[in-house]
Amino acid sequence: MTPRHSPRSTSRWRRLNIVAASAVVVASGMIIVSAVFLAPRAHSVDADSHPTDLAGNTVQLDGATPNPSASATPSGTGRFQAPSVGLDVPLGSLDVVDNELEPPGFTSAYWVRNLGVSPTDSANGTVFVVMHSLRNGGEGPGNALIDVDDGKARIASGASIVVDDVEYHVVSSETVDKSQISGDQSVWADAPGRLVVITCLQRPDGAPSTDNMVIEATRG
Amino acid sequence: MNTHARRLSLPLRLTTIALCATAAVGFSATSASAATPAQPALTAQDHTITDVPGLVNGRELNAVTGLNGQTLNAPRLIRSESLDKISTAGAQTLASEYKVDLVIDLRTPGQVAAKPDVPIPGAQSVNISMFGANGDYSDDTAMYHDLVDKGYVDAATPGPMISAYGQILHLLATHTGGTVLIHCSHGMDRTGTVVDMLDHILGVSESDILHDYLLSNTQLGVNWATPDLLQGTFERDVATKYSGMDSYLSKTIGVTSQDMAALRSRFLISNDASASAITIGGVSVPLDSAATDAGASITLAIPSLAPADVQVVTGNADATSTVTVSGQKVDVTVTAPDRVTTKHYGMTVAKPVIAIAQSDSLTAGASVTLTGSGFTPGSVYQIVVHSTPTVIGQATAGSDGTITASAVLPVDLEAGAHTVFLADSSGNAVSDPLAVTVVAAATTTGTAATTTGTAASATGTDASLAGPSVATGGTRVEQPSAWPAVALGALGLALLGAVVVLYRRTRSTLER
Repeated sequence: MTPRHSPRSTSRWRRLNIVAASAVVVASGMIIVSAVFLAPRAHSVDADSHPTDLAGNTVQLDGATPNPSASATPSGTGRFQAPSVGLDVPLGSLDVVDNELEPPGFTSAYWVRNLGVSPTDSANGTVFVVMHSLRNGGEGPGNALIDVDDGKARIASGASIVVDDVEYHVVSSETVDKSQISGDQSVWADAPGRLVVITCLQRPDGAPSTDNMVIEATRG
Repeated sequence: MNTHARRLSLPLRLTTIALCATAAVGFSATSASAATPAQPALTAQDHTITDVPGLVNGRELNAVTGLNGQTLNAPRLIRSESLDKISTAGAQTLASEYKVDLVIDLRTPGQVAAKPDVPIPGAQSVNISMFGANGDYSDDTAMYHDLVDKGYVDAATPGPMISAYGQILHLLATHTGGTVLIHCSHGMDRTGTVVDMLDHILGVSESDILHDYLLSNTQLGVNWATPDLLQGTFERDVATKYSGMDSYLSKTIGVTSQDMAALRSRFLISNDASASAITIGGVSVPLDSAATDAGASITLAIPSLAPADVQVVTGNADATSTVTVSGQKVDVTVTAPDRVTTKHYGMTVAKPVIAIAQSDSLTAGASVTLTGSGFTPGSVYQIVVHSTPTVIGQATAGSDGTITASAVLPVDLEAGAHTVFLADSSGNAVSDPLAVTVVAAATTTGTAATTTGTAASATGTDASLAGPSVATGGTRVEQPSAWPAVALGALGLALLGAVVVLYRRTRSTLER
């Protein structure tokens, strides 16, 4: 022990400890704030509450969350392919619930189980397929089908669309106001060998879509 | 009895006229006792020519009734005395007013040379001497015997008379231009027997023939022409020697049936008001039923009827026809060349009927098979559905006019009553509209059924809904950057590290 150093060393030791402790508290606070800030991001990806698009962007619906009773199958047995526009995505299926069709995912196309016919029965009726398109730089499968700047379909008449290995060719496309499509008999008619693909027509100004793009194709 | 000597000079004849006139005035009571007056009065059917200076005993055929009720075409033949006395103006009038373009002179060459015809401008002149070289007779009865068959031996040697009749009648049958003027010296005897034969062919009655024959007496003021000469001598010879006029004409003279028909066609005004063919839009009309009161019914794929769609061919080329179209009714009236006789043909034109094999209760988007008949072979039609006209397919009529075609009803065809019809390329309906009832599309039905099963509330919400709404829009979410937080965390860690290092260094210094 060294008495003559002890008063001075005791005093400097105490000051050093106080400074160090304060720094540790500040540093820890910064780390905790950082961790707290970063933590939900990882959590959301895991829980799928903020799903991603084909490019991995985080995306969300323009509108209410889909009704769980739609019981969508995000990825079904086949694929939805439109080679002319470079589209090749899994084909899921869903139900109309409360008179609304709302695809649950942003990376698949979905055929409608309770309208028309299933893709395996395509010769006998209309197969209805819906898919999301995204604004604000998102890349949904439906984006491949629309020409936002010109407000029309990007896929051309005559182009091939393959739904679960059944090939169709586009015969027409039209934009239908979202508020009108439920009453449009021409969209929902059931005719042998017919395919109706519906997505949203996004707008050049980036505001939420107000029109559906309806693409009609026939087999063979 | 008349003798030829009495006809020789004009002064003598004029004297005779005066005498006859006196006799007619003075002895009218006794003259009227004859059944047939020697100088019959002119009737409305007699067309004497009085406006040609120098023309003597000129008249057209009498416009009496001939074969099958047809009237003689009087202006087509003029008979007269020789044309040696007509003035230049008279000749011009015959050319321009009476359209004479053929003169048949029946006189002998000597008679022609003695009194040559004044030529008619533009007219052809043919000299056919019936008596041959010598035509002077002192006895009228002998002349009328010769008028039957002068010089006749057999068919190989017919003599001048039979040959002349053959030539004259053939000429009359084949001349298709203007008026024929036929004459001899007085226009009474030779001209009289030629017209007798022609009238016989045309079906004129004996009394009308005799009347016309005797008009020469009236016009010349003589009584040379008598029933005894024409009927008692000429016709009697024909009957006794040649088995009657028909046999005489056809066998002895050799008038062909074609010439007979041609003579009837040329010198009778046809009362043929028949149509030989009527077509509407190319479809032949059954004339027998069209001529009935009920009329004919035909099927024709035509949007609307116009008179121009109706083609009428009349049985007689000179007959005229008028076409009246009223909606789907067509009335054709043919007027015969006599301008009196008419015949009506009535037609009702129906558009072809079509049928849809499947049923008359259809769904929007359904494929249908259309059948029909009565269309124009080879024509291509549009299949149209109403109310908003929509072309849903094409149909081509086969060679028998039937069609069988498939089409798909529009998927947006609203439920309810609609009509389906075939249209021409302009979209005008050419078929009878077929009423169809479109029931709600299968899709809608299916949806409703599904909805009913899963959520009963949806069934009653809105019957007009055809399907669901589609919510397929989303957006990329702009996430706040992680870098500030990461930097803050890193800064905290760095600070912590710095504290540890500084703490240890300071502590070791103090403890040294």
